[in-house]
Amino acid sequence: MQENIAKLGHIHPLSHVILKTTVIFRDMGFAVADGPEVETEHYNFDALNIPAHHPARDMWDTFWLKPENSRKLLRTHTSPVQVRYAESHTPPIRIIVPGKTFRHEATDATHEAQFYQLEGLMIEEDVSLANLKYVLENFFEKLFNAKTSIRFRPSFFPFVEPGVEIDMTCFRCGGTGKDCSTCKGTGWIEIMGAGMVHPKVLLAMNIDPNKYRGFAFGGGIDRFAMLKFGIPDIRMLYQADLRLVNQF
Amino acid sequence: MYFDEPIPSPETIRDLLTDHAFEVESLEKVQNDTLIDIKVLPDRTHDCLSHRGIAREVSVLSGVPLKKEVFNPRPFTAPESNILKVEIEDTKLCKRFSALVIDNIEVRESPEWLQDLLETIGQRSINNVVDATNFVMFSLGQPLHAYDKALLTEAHGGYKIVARRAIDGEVVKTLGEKDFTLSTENLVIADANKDVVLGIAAIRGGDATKITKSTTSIVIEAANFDAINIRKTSKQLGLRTDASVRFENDITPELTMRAIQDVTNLLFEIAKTDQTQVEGLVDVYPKKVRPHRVGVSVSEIKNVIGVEITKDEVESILDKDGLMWSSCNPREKIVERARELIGTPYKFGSSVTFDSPLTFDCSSFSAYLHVEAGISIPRIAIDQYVFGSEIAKEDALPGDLVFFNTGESIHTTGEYYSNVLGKNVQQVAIRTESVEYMAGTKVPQGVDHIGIYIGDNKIIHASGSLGVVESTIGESKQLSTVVGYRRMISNDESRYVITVPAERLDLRIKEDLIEEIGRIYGYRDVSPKEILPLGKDPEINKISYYEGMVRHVLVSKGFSEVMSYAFVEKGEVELLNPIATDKAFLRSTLAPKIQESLEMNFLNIDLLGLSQIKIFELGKVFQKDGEYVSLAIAIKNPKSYKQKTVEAEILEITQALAQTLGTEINFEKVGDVYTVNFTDVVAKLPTPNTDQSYLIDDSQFRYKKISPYPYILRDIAVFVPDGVAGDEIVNILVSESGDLLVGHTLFDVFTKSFPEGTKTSYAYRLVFQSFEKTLTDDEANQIMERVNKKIAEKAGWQVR
Repeated sequence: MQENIAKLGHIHPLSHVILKTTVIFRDMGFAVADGPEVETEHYNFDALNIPAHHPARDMWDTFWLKPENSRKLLRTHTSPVQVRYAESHTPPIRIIVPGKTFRHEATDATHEAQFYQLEGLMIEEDVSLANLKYVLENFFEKLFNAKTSIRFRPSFFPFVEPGVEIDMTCFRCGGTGKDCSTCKGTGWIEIMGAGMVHPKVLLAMNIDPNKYRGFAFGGGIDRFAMLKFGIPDIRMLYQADLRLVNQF
Repeated sequence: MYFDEPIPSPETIRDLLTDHAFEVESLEKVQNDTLIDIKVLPDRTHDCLSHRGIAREVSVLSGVPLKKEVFNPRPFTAPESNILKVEIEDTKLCKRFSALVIDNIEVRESPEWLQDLLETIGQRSINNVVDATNFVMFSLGQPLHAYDKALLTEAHGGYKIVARRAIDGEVVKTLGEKDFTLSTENLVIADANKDVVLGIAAIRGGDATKITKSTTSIVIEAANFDAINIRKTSKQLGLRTDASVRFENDITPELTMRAIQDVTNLLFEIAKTDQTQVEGLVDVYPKKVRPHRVGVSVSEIKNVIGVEITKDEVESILDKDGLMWSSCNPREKIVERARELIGTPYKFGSSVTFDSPLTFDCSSFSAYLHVEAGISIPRIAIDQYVFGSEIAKEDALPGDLVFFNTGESIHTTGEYYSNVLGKNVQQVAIRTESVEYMAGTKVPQGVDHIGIYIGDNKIIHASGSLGVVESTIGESKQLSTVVGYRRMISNDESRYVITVPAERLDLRIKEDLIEEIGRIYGYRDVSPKEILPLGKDPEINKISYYEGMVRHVLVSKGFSEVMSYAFVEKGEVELLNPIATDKAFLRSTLAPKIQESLEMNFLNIDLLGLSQIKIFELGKVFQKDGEYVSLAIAIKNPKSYKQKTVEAEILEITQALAQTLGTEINFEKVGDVYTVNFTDVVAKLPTPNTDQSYLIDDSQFRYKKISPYPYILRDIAVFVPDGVAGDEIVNILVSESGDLLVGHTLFDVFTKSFPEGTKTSYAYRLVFQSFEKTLTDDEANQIMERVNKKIAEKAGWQVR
């Protein structure tokens, strides 16, 4: 049975997640940064150590804009904002970038051509993967209102080195995997990519890699919302349908 | 095949790879074997798009040793061919071309074991020769190609193959009989004696010289091609092959001879006749790659990974990983090597990779010494100056660097290829700003010379006139203007200097090595480490701050937030590669989608249990001159809604927003939708001082399934005696309808006097819907009949 008395309106489930994320990270000293959704090739790729004609570019299916020679595109991640932010800020830097991103791919229940990404960046003199683990465990615990821990697996993203894939223990079954549809019985949920900012990217941000290092992470806000609220299909989020929105 | 001893179970291998190397996509039982499908990470495609690379990884992680004869065979030797010549036109595009002529072989079916192996990995067996080249490619990661020697053109008693750019419009018929028209961007292998194309380099061989049953003598090619060029050609022709994938991911030219060796051994096993013999070898390798060296220290690993790894653990991992390493005190090493190199000739523009330690210029000398000590520093003098940390003259220790402005121009002309910038950099005048490292950092004094400080005011440096020499600072005009002293070595900790195996093109900088050691060590032991407070509040993001404010106002006025697609049929900004023709533009306004949403949601107003539809969206719109955040609000009321007109309510909302934000808002009306450029609105507002969040407790939110089937409405009004609450009616409604009643709204209540007393009328709108099917009117009517019957049983109740 649905409650049928709606005196107040509702904010979108993605906004719920973004709001909560913002507060959790603000308490850890992270500011929110933003940037344009139409980006240049420079900020979206080159400055992030993803050169033209490099096979790594295949990791991002990109929407390009007309005219072709403008080399403009729809950002494929919110990572360009870290480079833009560094143009007006120097370390220590702690930011998150929740924002809309675009990928040129076929849509299904877990893929959309537009979605929201959460980028995070912390650059100080002494930062390690251990700090990243602290920050993300804290984040997931508060976001999902459950005790979770995370693990790193080796991965590759051109803008970080080392690069890691992040799995969190399933917040629904507590990592046991028993009869759990959220983690499909594995006890783990693949949730993010991350790593230590590549020195070439630091240089592109005009930050001296000899003095500073940092971590960066990126995850899908839509996926957080789907997991958190049990929304089965990413496409539902963009139907502008109150049958979904008014549940939250 | 790669191990003498048994290896762990497929499940254990999967877990080891997952934790320390790669994601495993699947384990699949194939006959009596298990096929492990591994997602090789992009930075490991140089060495792990091969079974041998994976075997090596399994050995490192499991401790099971590799078969020595497979991984470290005796070097292959063959006489130089008397009949085959190979020419490389552009050594940037083709870095090595090895070819072997084998006579008197027999082309036949492959032995069963080879056919089976190829089939297991989805390859079709062709014949023994082609299968052998394929097998070696998958095993080693080096593509090969075999030509029928008899089908090459003989001239002047021999054959000649050339790797050259195609001529515009040149056509080649490849294996599989498909014709491709090429351009000068494409690299081909051609028969130089007849000037016909034999195949598209690195991608696919030609049909004309393919191996057939009648082939008796063959030429086997193992070459190395430029990754970017091959990738471009492959994309342009729409032709991706197992070979092109390996080349476009870049492999080391060092592999070609191993491939020739392996395929020869295999052919002597499976294609041999009594007369089979190697005629000879051609190996054109203009610029042999030098082993790459990179260094790291224990504390650097600790600092980045955040684990308490020990010296012994690091060394054991380096050994396990099969990396050649040594350790040194960097300061001592630099000075010691500098002394040893005294007398080495000077050559301007000496390459650290290719010319050291035979010739040096001043900065290649310092760069080389640092490589020897396991420290990567920039290549250019001024970049080294910017890279190092500043120290006072009095604090200089042996091994530090001294920078000069010689007042000469010996270092200031010429051209230099920058690997960082990927292009030639013109050297025109004394440099006063950095080029690659912290590019653009100003050094007004200018830097054009470097020396290694060795104590007592003395340096060792590569001097233009004297070569590597020991001098005293100030002894000559060249050495009299010291720009500054710089330190490259942060501490006296010993460093590991690792000589990277040729195929590991991913191990280039310190960070790569940290990852290599960290992943083998295992990331499981990384314990969370708290971050310290910054001591100040984070900056407030202005646009998000005001967006939050608007959301709060609108939601408190009953609006719900929607999000719609950015891709539309018509707009101002067009996509080059839209996903569909009706999604070819970016939205220039939110209005049409909000209008649509308004209409759609209005159809569900009863299901939603709402008396009006009130929605808003905050999102970027895109116009010719740029993007901005637009705010759109819209209201749609049913005819029965009498409280307020839409216009009056919009006005009220506009005023509430203006009051909360503290600025005027001028909505523009299109259809039923009101939009405003919110970026402009925010621009006029002050930067907020303190953040506020309108956090809503979301712990109870859980998605409830939405039925895809239509719903049916029924209204019911019931008189009940005084003292009976409406809830009692609801209880009956619920119990009689079961799951099919998905909503009920009380829309009218009034009391009326009857002879038997005062009664209250409750009127409900009922929404019926199934999750399994479309409900029929009959089904709704049956429910209503049951409800009516129940109500009739109640004393004093009466359905109106």
